[in-house]
Amino acid sequence: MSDHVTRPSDLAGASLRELLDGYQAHLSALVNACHGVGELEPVGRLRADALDVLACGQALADRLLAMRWATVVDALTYSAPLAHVAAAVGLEPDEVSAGLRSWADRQLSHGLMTPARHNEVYALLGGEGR
Amino acid sequence: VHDPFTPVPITDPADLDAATERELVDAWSAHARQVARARHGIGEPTPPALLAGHALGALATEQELTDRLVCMRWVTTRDALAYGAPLSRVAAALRLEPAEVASELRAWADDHHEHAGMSAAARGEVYALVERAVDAEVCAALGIANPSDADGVRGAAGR
Repeated sequence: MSDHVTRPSDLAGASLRELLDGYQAHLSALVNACHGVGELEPVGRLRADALDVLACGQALADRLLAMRWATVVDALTYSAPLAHVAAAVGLEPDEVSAGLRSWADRQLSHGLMTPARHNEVYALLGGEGR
Repeated sequence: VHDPFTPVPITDPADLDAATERELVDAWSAHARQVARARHGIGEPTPPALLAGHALGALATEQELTDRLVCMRWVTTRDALAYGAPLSRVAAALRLEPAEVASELRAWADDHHEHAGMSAAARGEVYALVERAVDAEVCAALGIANPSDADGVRGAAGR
């Protein structure tokens, strides 16, 4: 068995489309093997396909979710109602409020957000969800 | 019903069921680009209501996509173990610790057995895969022979 391990961080240079193409290609190989479609693939190949599906999927999810809370801030800044934001992310409004405050607190504690910006984020929530 | 305050429809992830993953990635990219450009003051000013719509569109499309990825995650983890992937490699691919993979996969099987029609036998197979993978991990860490090696690797994952 090869010692190579594909990690999500190995895929940092790939575009979203490339990650999706890789994810779908490796997943198709697994689905075909499961249903006996096409050539019989060696187990080692399918093992590698499964690991690559996991790594590509994780890298894709990481990339999509990296900006999630910054986008929530944008939506609220542009006056989107908290209920609409919550619907978009599949959460309850109070979960969005808690998640956003938690994210802002982490950003502040890691020096990635100024205290003034932190206050602005809290102010966006106003009395909602507190 | 369109919200009157924004010209872009609010996109609930549930409304995106019919979209392909490629369409979702392209829609996300378009929405996220508009929001990022505005955030950095690039280009012509865009009405706030339109930007709110783009921000909501980005959030909804990324949620739908990540929901789909999560949906396949544990099925694929099970397949990887069934094809003989070491737990440590599965964990590396998922950016998790091996113990987290083992416990999360068991929890997924429990949940599917309870709520999604997974048979008790299928659940038992998942548990057996986890047990064998953990055994192999322990034996490798201790530098001792793994008695399970004699069983060989199962050739079919079986969905």
